[in-house]
Amino acid sequence: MTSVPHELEPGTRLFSIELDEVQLEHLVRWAGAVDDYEPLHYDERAAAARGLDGPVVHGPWKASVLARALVEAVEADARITQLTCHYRRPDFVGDRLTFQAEVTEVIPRHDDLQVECAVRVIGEGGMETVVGGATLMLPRKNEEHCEGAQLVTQVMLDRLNYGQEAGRFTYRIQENDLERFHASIGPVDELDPRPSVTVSGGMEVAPPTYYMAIDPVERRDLDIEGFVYQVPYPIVGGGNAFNEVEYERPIVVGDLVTVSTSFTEVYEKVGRSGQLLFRVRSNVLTDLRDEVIARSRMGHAIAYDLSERNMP
Amino acid sequence: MKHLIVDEVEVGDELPSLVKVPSTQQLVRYAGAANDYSSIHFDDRHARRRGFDGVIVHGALKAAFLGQMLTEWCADAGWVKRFDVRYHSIDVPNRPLVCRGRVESIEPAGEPQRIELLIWVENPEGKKSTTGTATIVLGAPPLPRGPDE
Repeated sequence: MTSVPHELEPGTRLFSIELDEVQLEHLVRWAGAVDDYEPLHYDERAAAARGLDGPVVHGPWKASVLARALVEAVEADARITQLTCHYRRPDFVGDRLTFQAEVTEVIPRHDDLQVECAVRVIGEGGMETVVGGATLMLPRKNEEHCEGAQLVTQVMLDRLNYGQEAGRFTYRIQENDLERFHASIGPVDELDPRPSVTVSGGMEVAPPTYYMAIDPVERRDLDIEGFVYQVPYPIVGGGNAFNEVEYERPIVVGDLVTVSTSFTEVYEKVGRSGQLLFRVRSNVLTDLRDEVIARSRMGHAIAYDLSERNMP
Repeated sequence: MKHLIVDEVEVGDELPSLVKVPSTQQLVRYAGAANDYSSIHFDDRHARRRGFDGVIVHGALKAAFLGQMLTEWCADAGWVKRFDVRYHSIDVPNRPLVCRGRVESIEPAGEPQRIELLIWVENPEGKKSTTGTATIVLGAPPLPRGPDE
């Protein structure tokens, strides 16, 4: 049994359980328990009629074995809040199966430790027959494991105007801006150095990632993140984690785009290189008519080494 | 399929790959064009203090490469409505990065039709340093009636 929680970190193997031989009785018991009497799972002839070598192990049975092993691998009061299984290949009665789970992420939440896991079942030939993921919520009992939770403080959240608009800036989109942006990505034809700006309906359309170029924080128009350098631990890594955008329409030359930005998630989690402070900003881009052009989310992480405290 | 042909596109189709070898000059150009002046992309000494061998490629530039692959592929047949990327590992300049994409689904229900894609950047070791998904909506994009009116 794995002791919780300080041994839980990305890469921790939660369990690897071998079942020497799936018995027909396993499947018949499952069929009875879930009231599913599809003969494919217990009748050799029905299986043969479908061109299969024998009765096929129920996918949900394999998922249930994973689910039970997950709870047993941690603590009785852990909750599985999500389990996703993709059934890649069939397994058959008599097969040797290996059930495995490994921690991929540990995220301290307010009352719980959220543990993300990768799960899999390896079948007779060593091939993955089930792959998926699970989310476990473990109650946080003491502070021993979350010393780093001091990274996110109320002062920090207040400074970011957490959950509310942190800033609002307006940018005029000019032809030169788009040409420069296109040229910096690289011309379509390397022999033709002219930047190619996409034209649609007579309008020059910005590239899909142009929204990042009018982000007030990346541009330092809104200088609000200085607090990250005031956290009393050395920075050992970090950077962009993700970017997402959904457009209602493309950005075009001539647009006057107002970008409203707010911090919608600030949290920390255990990473490979240290304690990671994540901040997610959501931007809404609107035009002169106050119609939404796009909504975006940008995630950034900074890793701190908690074992070493900076001198004040 | 060099470009998206609406009547021929199928689930599983691969997009033409786009190879980029970003130089340090390109990083500086991108920093200027995108107003992204994080020093880890142009200051070698700063990058070394942060534990890297030298400057690293902007995640946003890798996303922009993927964006270029998408817009070149769909050309006039559609537009990029939704686009997300996750940055898994860093890339360094002067090494080839290969942008790839694959059609995951084609949604016939509803107008206009949508194509869902998986997109990623492969480093020279064949590892996916950046992955994402995108939605292309077929047809011309909606445009503002007159932005300056």
